[in-house]
Amino acid sequence: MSSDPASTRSGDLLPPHVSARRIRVNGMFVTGCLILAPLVLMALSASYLAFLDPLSINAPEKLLPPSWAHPFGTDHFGRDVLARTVHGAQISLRVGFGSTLLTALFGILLGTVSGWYRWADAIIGRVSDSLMIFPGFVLAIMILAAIGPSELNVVISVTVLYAPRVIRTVRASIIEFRDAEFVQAARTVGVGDFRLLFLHILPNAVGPVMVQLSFGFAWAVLVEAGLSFLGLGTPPPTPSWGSMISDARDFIRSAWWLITIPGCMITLAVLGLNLIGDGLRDMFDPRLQNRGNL
Amino acid sequence: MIATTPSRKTEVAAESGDSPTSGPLMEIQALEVRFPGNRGPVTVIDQVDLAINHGEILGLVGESGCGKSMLARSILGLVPTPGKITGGRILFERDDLLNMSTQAMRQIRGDRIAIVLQEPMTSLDPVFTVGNQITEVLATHRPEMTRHERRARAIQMMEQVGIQFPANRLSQYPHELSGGIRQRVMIAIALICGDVRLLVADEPTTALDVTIQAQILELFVQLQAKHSMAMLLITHDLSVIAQTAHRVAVMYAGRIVEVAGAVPLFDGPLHPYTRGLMHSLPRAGARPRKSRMAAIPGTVPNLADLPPGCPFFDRCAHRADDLCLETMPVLEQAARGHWVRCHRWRDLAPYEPPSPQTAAS
Amino acid sequence: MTATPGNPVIAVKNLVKHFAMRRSWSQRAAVSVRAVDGISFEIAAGSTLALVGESGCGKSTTAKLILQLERPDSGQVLLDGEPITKPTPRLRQHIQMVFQDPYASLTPHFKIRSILREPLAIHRVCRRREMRDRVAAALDDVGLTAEVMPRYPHELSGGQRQRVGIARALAVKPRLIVCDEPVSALDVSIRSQIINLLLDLQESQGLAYLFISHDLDLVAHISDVVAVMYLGKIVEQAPTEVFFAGPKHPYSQALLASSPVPDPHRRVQFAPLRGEIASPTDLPSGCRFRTRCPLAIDKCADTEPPLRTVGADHLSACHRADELNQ
Repeated sequence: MSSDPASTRSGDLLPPHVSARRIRVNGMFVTGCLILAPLVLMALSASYLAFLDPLSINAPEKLLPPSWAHPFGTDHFGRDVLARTVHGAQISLRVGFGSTLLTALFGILLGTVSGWYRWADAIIGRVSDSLMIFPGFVLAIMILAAIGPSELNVVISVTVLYAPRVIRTVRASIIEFRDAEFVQAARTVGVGDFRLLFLHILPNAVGPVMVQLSFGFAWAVLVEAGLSFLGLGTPPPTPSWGSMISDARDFIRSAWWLITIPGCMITLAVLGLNLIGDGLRDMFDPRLQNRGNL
Repeated sequence: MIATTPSRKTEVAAESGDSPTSGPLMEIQALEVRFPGNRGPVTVIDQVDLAINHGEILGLVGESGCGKSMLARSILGLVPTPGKITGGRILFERDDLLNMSTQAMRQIRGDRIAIVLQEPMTSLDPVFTVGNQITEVLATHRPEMTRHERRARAIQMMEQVGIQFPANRLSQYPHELSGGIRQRVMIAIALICGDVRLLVADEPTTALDVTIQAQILELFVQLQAKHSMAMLLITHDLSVIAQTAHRVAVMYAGRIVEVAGAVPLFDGPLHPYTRGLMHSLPRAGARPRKSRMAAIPGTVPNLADLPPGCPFFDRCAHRADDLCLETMPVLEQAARGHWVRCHRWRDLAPYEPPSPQTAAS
Repeated sequence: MTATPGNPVIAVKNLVKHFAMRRSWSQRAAVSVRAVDGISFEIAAGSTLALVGESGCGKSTTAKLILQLERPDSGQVLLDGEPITKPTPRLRQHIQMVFQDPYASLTPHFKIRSILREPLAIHRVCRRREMRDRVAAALDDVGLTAEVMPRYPHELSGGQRQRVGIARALAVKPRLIVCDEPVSALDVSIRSQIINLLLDLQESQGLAYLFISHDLDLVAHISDVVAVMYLGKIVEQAPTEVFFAGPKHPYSQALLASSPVPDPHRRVQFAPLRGEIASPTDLPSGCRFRTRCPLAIDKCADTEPPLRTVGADHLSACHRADELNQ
């Protein structure tokens, strides 16, 4: 802040605790990022760590508990669990990231169209509503049963299932701000529809959409794991956290590490992403910035 | 900071009081409310001393952020988190409200002290009927009453606040009513227990049209006299104060800067801020049409960044540099019942009122 | 003045706007809200017409119709004598608006610089490299320094925000500014600063104002002509001095008597007007004001009083106008 009296007095109506709140919120976001960062690092480095081969079978060394040679132990084919976990991170995050990107693309595009044009709303709205009627996971199974299990198909089905939520979020923001006073003000100075939509209105949806997308990312990781667990996701022998858990079912009693480690990974990834989502929600929520304004 | 002694406070009350009972109904002593901020706590109400006498309308006037609404909330024990009352006492009929249990406070609130808020749309619950919301207060404070008695009492109260066809209105929802009627319902809710000693009205007419505002103000004055209750009328509108209040307190940046009877205050305000406000009011015929209006320069100060001295320093036309900048003035008695927080009130020229209305008949 | 010689900047002729509203699903026929029901006025360069009335009287709809934010059902808006039917760039440049809530009317994620650049860029008022100077000049005109340019609206005080709103309206050199309650959301001590600014700008740039307000004391001070609206109609129109010297419509009289005076010696004991405004979906027959009017006679229920001349430049829509103020 400068020393000019006119400008330092700018915060006259803002309650003093607003910015304090913001810092605390960032803490939640940062925690989420800190949890997620090693997983992302793991996924990115997987291809470069040649000594970690997730597929090499070594029958004599099967079901070994964690040791210096195999920090996460080995599975029933003697494969190194660390290698499989690291490669699993790659698949989970790739599926999550891919579907988030596609969801964002379709969600924002269709949401914008449906919020701005009433006629489009009738069609897009009904279709996305009917998609939301089904329990997501069951529908994902149906889609994959129809188009066959593969990584890309998992991405597609997650997108189909999650895009409606983003569509609704974007649509709601557009409708909320379509008649806002600042939009009318922009109209009176002659701002055209396109500019109005993309510069004045849509940026207000960024916050809620980011929140939705980070939850969507978490959901995609879960769905991928679930589908792989059922054998509908990434086909074996490619290691996915879900299929690792599925394989470990028979050894729950004898080899705890087989199920615990991918389980922890899924938990961490989902926890991290949800924390990021919650953090973002609080950071973007405009109501928090006006709270206690008396 | 000023040293506050109880004797002086009683004096503030007694001076102006034409009250039948001895002692004021409510005495606020050295009240302080703070909110946590980035750079330490921010004091939104600072050393406020104020007495409300039995059966008077005390107008509390100030701009947004001056702490007037926070004062009302403090009285009702409803300071929003993370704010805290960090000092002072609020004596209501000799009991300190700040030392009271939540339970005891709840007994008083709605029964002995009631509130009417600015926005009648948002302070009524949209999912309950008007009847529900009026009788709910009775269910809390008069549990011995039967359903039938409550209904009868509600109808009687609605008649009293000037609602036509009260029996039909009972089953209506807030959105079916106009702003004026909603505000009347709020007043009915506030007064239904019949035992209200202090009615706190926070900007009760600000959201209403002028013709409806006139009706509601008339109702307030009439009910206040009828129930001989005290009323704290909080508003930013000096005209509303002039039309209703017996005494007026002016707040600026969390502090009381002037207290006086309504007539002395409007005839001869002493604080430069009060004078500035009076002069900046547009008055029909007071000055040539389209001439420049008197204005207070600058903006309302940031409470987190107040100078050590007078908070009005930056905007004041009569400041004496060192004293005003460095020392907070105390609330001094300038005349019987007229208190002012200014170092220089003695040096100011006599107040010249804006020439009265001449154009209109 | 009402009959200013020369061409008015803006003229409104028989403007009508009804909104269709359905009360419930079961109800087939839509109810029509007659928001603006045939109003006419003119505003000359350098003068101010104040549009006064209570909420729901149609003042804000009138503003939107003039700005072509809403399309009128019938009637015309003439800019320099030429009818306008759609929001052309010329219209957008010549007619600007200052809004009531200076916070809600500034795009929250735009810096002040961008808010002021936008109209300049759209109307190609100046070259790109002159932009910064033009923005600084616009800020200077409204009493702000270039220091606010990199700030966001929420970092400014209410008064500063309203100054930015005025600077945006002025940036494209308009002829008419519609001011919709421009000071009612501001603190009392800030109001006169903004009013002075509007008065100065009018004088230096010859602006015409359509000033929408409910504050009669303020209107008395800044306007040249007063038009009072009630339920979509203008019920009285007169030069300001004439109006305040003796209004010729019972509603105007009631409005004047209802607005509180900042003087404890002159207290109004009883509210001058009983009852509330009639529903715009269900208008009374004859005169719209008759349900609240203290002077209503049988004729008022039968025939709607036309807006007629009752004195020099003085129009009133009351059957009994001649009996008032005698």
